[in-house]
Amino acid sequence: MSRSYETSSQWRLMWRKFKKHRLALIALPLLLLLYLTAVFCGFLAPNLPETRFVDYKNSPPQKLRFVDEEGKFHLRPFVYGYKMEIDKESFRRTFTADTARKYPVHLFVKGDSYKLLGFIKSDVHLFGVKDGNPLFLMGTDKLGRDLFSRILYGSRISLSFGMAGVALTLVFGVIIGGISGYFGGWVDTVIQRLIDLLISIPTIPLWMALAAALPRTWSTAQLYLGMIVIFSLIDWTGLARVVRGKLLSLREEDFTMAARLSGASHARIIFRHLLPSFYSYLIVTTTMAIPTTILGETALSFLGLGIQAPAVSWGVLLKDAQTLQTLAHQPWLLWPAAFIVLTVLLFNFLGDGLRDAADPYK
Amino acid sequence: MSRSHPAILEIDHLKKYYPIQKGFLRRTVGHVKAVDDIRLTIHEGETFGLVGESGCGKSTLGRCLIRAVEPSSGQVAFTDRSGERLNVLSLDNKKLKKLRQEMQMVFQDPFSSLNPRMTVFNIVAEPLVCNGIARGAELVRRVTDLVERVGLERSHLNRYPHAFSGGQRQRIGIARALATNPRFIVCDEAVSALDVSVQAQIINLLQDLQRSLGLSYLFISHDLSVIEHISHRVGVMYVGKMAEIGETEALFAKPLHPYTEALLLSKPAADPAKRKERYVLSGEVANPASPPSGCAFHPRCPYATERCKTDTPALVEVEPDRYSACHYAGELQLQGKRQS
Ligand SMILES: Nc1ncnc2c1ncn2[C@@H]1O[C@H](COP(=O)(O)OP(=O)(O)OP(=O)(O)O)[C@@H](O)[C@H]1O
Ligand code: SF4
Ligand SMILES: [Mg+2]
Repeated sequence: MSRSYETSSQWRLMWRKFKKHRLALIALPLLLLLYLTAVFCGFLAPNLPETRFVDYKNSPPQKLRFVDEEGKFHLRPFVYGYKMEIDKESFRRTFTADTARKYPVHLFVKGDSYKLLGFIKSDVHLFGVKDGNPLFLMGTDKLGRDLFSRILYGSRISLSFGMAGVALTLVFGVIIGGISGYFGGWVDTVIQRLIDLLISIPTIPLWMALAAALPRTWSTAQLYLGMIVIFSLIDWTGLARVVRGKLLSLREEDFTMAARLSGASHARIIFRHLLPSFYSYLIVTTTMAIPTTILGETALSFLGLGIQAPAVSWGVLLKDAQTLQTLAHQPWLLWPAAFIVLTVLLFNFLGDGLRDAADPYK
Repeated sequence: MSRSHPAILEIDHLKKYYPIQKGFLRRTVGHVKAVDDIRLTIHEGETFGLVGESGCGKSTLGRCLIRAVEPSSGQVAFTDRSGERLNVLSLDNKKLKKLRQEMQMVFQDPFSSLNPRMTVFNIVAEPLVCNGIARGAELVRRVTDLVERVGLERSHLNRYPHAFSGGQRQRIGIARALATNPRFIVCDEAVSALDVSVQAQIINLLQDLQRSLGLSYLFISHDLSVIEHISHRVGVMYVGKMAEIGETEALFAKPLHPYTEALLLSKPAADPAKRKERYVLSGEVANPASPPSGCAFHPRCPYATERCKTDTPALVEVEPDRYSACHYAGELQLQGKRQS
């Protein structure tokens, strides 16, 4: 047993155990990347989410190519332009790659202006094609808007919603569960019965009912906050239960009594003995709750009960992919789903790793 | 040991009833009589061993003495360093805190009794810090002293509990208990969780400390051989009450209560997985929520008579320094410890 093991603190032990969990170790940087993407979406997206390219409605994704039709390799990637054909019978427009038109992709291209982080004005995009030519890596929707850019912009709402919702849940859960577990007695009984009641109501209909009650006239920001409150009002119960149970069992641990006999004050017991035994646990629970919340927002927005267009979230984007017909002709509209699945999976991997690491003394 | 030394702790009519609550409104439907009318004196420099089956109230009694749980009623008088006799149960929080510098506790579970998130230094320093006894360089000096006194090394101070074996952890717990320089320590199953060889080391340590510091112990254990080895006097508890009290040697050689005899004649449970039930005694342990009428031991007692079902025997001095709560204490010829 190395010396460092013996003197290493809880966090270092946790990190050591966490590192053994391969998937979690991969998930962590990927999630960071996703969140960074959401923060810098203006810079990373080649187009603005609301810009309509009226000539390119429902166009399929372009392939980023290095080798052209003659088999020649280009160091700088490029995309082909679109060739439009109209089907004589169905009057449906179809696009194919026009090998005659090649648009090289450049880094740091000047384009539409946006505000980075909401206040730094800029018109430089990480990559793009010049002279306003089309670059639709994931195709466009029926109004000719670039889906890739919209997904990046949509991640702002979808990803932050998970965090914010869980943060508020945490506040409710810890405070109410803490009161329940710390004071015990009839306060505890009342809170526990209330939780029983809330838990007995199926979650999804409750979400829907509450979300449907939000005024349609609200702005996106108001809707966003309203939905966060709805989620945490429903979600806190589980956490409160856990916090209460943990508090009750920690109060019974001998080291709590030892601290009391050592003359430690209530505050010292709570902040030095009880709470630190909790942090790791809360982190795990929280991580596991984020994907559920993200999915919840997506589901409600998909059903038209949550965030409303023109605001973009992944759920709003998926609304465009609601009919079988669109799926058959524009399968690329499902790209937002891929991002959702990826995010949820990554969070679950991370949560698994954290759970294994949370109790490094086992 | 008994009469020659002044009393450090005098316990009188001590009771702890846990209410049994039912239903939504938490109505009290009865009481668990965990400690039921205990009278007992512990002397300075003495180790008083407390033995009995699981659930008979040993821990509750020990905890009541330092008010780790609040007793329901009774008297506990503690004679402090200055010779003042304190009424433990009526002290306010400030005085209680001061009292606990002189009365401490060593716990059974070497894992749950140390906060895994604190270093050995912080664990042992806590009583000194909380009571404002030492700080800075003085604190470091005192903690180092304590740790070395219990057989650990200075280099262990920055380690976390997870790096230690059960025996070493128990030493840390002992160092913490010693920090405020106490005179009386409750050792609640302090060696029960340890391997036999480690048990011996910890018992030796406790005995050394007793000699050099003049400590008094209430030593709680279910293990008769440990109790016999370490105690000067022994109390045998059954369902919240004291069945017998006496000097160790005399009590083991010639018990004066049928329950003591039954314990002495029983073999420790062979299956180590069943460590909760350590004795193989015939019959069920009585339920402290509804103890049998009369003598609580009567359903299991081979000597029980009609009288035992109705009359509750009091703890009386049968022989000098020998107390027994059996109607027939003087008459029965009970068997002592099996010769091994
Ligand atoms: N907090 C509590 N609430 C209700 N009942 C309790 C509580 N603590 C202990 N009891 C009950 O009081 C009785 C005595 O318990 P105690 O822990 O003192 O026994 P013990 O002799 O120490 O047993 P063991 O050998 O298992 O440690 C038991 O019946 C137990 O169920
Ligand atoms: S009083 Fe009766 S039942 Fe109780 S121990 Fe004595 S003989 Fe047995
Ligand atoms: Mg006990």
